[in-house]
Amino acid sequence: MRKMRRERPKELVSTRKSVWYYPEQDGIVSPEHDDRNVFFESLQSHMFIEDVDVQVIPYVRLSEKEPFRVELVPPSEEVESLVAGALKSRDRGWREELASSLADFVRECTQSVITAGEAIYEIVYFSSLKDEKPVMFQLELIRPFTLKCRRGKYYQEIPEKVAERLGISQSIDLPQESILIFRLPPELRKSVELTLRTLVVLSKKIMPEFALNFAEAASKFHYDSSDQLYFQKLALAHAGRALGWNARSLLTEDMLEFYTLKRQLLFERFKIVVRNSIVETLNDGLKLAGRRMGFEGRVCLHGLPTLSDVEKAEYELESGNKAFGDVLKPFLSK
Amino acid sequence: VSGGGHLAPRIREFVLTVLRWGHSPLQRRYELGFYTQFWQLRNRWYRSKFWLNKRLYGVLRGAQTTAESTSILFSLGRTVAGQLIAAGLLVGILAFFDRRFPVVTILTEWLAQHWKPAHALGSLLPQKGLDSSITATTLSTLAQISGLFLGLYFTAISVVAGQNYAKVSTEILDALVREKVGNLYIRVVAFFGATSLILLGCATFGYNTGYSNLVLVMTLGIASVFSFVELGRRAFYFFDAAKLVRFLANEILQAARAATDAGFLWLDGAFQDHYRKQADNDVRIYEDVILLSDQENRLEGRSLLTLALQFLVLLEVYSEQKKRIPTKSLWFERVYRHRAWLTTEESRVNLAIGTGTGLDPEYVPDGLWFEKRIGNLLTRVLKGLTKRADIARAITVCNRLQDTLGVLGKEFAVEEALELFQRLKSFAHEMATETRIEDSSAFDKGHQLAASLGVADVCGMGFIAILLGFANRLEDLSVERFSRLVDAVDFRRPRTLYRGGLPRKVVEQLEYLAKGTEFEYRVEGHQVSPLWYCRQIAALGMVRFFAETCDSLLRELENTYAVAAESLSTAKRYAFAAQIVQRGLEACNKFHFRIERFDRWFKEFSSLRLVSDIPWTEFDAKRAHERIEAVRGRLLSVLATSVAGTVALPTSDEIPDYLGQTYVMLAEECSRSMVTGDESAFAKFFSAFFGVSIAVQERLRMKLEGRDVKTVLVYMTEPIEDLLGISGYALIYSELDKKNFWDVAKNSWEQYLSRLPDTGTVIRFLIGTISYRRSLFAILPRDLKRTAWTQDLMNRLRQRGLSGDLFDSWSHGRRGGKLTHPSALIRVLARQSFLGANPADIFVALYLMTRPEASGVEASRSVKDFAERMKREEAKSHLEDEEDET
Repeated sequence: MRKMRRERPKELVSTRKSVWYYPEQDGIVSPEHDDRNVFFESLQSHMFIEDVDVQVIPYVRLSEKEPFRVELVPPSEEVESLVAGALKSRDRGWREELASSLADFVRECTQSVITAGEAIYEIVYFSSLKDEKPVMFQLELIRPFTLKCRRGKYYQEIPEKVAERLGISQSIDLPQESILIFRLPPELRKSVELTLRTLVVLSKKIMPEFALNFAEAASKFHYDSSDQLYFQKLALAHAGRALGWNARSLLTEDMLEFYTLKRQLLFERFKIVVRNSIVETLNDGLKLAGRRMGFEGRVCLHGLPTLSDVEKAEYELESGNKAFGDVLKPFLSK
Repeated sequence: VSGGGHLAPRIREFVLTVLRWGHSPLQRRYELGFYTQFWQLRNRWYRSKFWLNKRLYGVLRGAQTTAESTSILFSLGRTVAGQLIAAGLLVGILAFFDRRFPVVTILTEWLAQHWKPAHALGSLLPQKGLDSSITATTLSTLAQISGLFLGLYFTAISVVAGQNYAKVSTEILDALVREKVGNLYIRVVAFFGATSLILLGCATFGYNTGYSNLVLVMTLGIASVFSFVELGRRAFYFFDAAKLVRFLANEILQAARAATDAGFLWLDGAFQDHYRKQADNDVRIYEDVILLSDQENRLEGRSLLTLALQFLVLLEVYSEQKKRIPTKSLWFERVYRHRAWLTTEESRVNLAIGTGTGLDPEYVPDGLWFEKRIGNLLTRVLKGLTKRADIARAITVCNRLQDTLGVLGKEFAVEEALELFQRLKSFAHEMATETRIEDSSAFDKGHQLAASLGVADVCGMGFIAILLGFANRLEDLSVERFSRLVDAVDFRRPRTLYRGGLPRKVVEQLEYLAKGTEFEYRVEGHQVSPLWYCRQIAALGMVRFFAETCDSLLRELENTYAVAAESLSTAKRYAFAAQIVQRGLEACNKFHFRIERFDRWFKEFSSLRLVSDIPWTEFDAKRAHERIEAVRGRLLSVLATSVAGTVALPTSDEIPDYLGQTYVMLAEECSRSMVTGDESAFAKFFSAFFGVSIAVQERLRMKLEGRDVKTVLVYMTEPIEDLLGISGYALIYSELDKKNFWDVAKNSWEQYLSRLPDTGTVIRFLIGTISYRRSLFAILPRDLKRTAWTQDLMNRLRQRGLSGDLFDSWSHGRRGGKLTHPSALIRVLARQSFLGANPADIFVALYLMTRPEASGVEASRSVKDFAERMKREEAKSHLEDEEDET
């Protein structure tokens, strides 16, 4: 069912307080940003992030299988349209559909959560000039590492040059009830952090400089390229061990099929946990918005693999009573 | 939400590195690889380890050599011990008597007392203890003796070696020098000489060395004297290099054993390579010895035989050892293999394109290097024996080779066995093509042919030996046993991979699993892949091995028998072709039988396949049967097309009765082709059978010369009975199945009779022969076979509802309805519980008796009875037709 996208009328007033800016424009260096941005720029960690955000939820209308279903509880066409419009994301495909909007939002949020460790949104309400009653809302991403918290109060820190250029204050107070913070579940945070940091190192260190001249490295330093390559694969496998990431098919040659699949299921589990966590936080956000706007609703996903599916698949894999392809089938989007 | 404050980048980096390295030792090892010092230190560590291992290996080798020498010493000791003990006893007894009953002293004293001139004798008697000057003289003499023996031994060796090995390669000379018994003898004599000299020195300085040393040195002296007798005999071995190099086999096996899981540092590439080089060097000496024998005809046939037997034992023991050597071990010689452009990995292809060069070849292990080398040696031995016209020994080698093939098959070394079998095959083929029986005298002709045929036969049996060896071993390997063997493997302990005695394909799979589980151990700290998965992967290797082996054996069946028999027949080597056919048919028979068991085995083994999308191999038993049947057909075709040549073969008790074999098999095939409705096969076999039936009579006449007339008549008329019987069946099966068998048979008869100058006589003879045979109240020679054909026909009639059993026959009042078969002949036959008419009688009644030349000829009662019944049946049928029309 396609619904028309709810356009924001020009006469509506926004409650948005946070600002989006690009510090590069003013030549500002943010160590925190650079520290995390390296995850996105390094080959292996980028592949990992990409694998998670691409696979965390299927692309609506691209999957050959019956697409997953998003249900709003309690059902309401009006609220569904409101929520679909609120989920603002970079991907603009079928925004008017809740499933499509939600999928885009989950993907974008996942990417931020994995890369920056958290994704912070401001719930922005729009109301008419007449009665100030909010008629719609949107989740606006706050630039990472700019939100600070002091004595339980949130504020956005703006660099001096940016504040000058934009003509705003260096510190913008943000109401606590309009802030929505998406984070990884605590049990995953350390693993993801460690995985990303190790992958960055593995992306940087591909081959020792002295080994560029193979013949010389072998004769002078007794460098053994195949040994080094083997340990690179081992290190890569170890880095992805906790989350089950198989570095795409880089390790296939050295790993037994069973082990590859076992890790694959672990990765599926990780993606499901991430997805569930994001949806749960989003529902908290809807609760906040609903309280202000007077609606009630939470989104529920149907038709996607669950943790019990993973457990079942793990059991089937261990017992060997199902073909490997069939074990993985529920997790393949195509 | 981020907080404030940053660590200084370098400290932060250091802390992160420590954390990372602490968390993952694999990451630490990988990152250490970026420092040149790591590689240098690592290299130093490896070199130190290698140096230590090398020393340790030297010590172990030394200990091994000492053990060997001790063993030889004991062996020599055993040889001389008897004589030594006898000499010691003699000296002891004399000494005892000398002390207790000093006969010489008493006698001398008595003589001195009673006979004055003998008084001087008393002075010869020992007056006091050990005299140092006498001791010195004795020791000096003993030292001279040792020098003398050394000189004598080296002179003998130099004379023999100078005469025989003046121009031989250094490898052979090296082997001669390494002759172990001689070496040990030299060491003992040298030790004896040295001990004597030391004692002599002591005596010179006035030091009394005592009785014990004197006894020791004298014992050594005596041992040297007696050992020299054995050594002198062994010196003649130098005339025969084959005897001298016997120890090489042991050395080769030691080297092979060292490369197995039982060896020292068997996983170390440097040591693996060393072991291969050792074996390679020893094989080279063997090669040189045989080359020497080829060039100068130096080795006797017996020596060559000894060498060949050594090679075969080597191969047998090695086949067992080989399974315990890792697949990638440097024990296996590396050979160049050119890469294929379309299957090589892209990076390599791009590099080749970028640099404008070709694909660099890869080094791959040649798992058969040793078998090939020994196989070459065997070929040369066989050729050497043939060159010396020593066919009897060549056959002995071939016979023994056949046993070896069986052993290899049993060790799952089918590829190796087939490699070796090619040698036997080409040798047998050469013998077959080179044996010119036309050039020899009658006796020689049979003898020589028999010998060459013996080789061909052994060759034929060689394949069967491989097949049976493989099949028996396979049957021993049940699914449960295989599972137990795989379960017993501990992938962390490489030795356990090679202890199951499983085929190479399985070992490769286990090695693959070991590599994969090693990865799991390193990353996860434990093995992740479960037991069932390991079993399935190992079982995949087993079924692959099985399917590939079956395919190789089927291909070899085609080449060894069908192709060889056809080429021999084309080359007009009919006896050899017939011999190959005989063994080929046996092989087909055995293969058919085994395929059924293979199929059962394969299905049982498939129970290890739990996950269906891991690749598996299929075994098509039906297709295998078809391939075997095709070979069988080709062999029988060779038999059919070689009839003229087979007839012309000399007759001798030393040569198998190929003509008889051809006759019996073609008769069987004619019957079989009619039963299976194969018209083309019948057309092919019947004309050949017709020809051979006539020829075989003449052979029988010669064979039975001198026997009583009745016996001769019975045997000589057997082929006629068979020929007429088969012709009768042609009539029956043509009527039964609407086939053209009778057209073929009739055509052959028409052609045959038209060529005869007096057809009437022959027809009368044939009818008379049948009449005579019917008059005999006895079970005749091939009656059982003919009865089997008849029973088969009756069963078929019953299966089609045309005939009942004994109590359901027309003669007993058939309970069924009217016989509806359109053929009167079939109706007549079906009315009887048993066929009721002999097929030969049917042929006589329906063909021979209808010919004009048979008018007035009196047929047998059974023929007449059958003709009468046919007449009645036809009349009845005519009447029924008329009634139906009315």
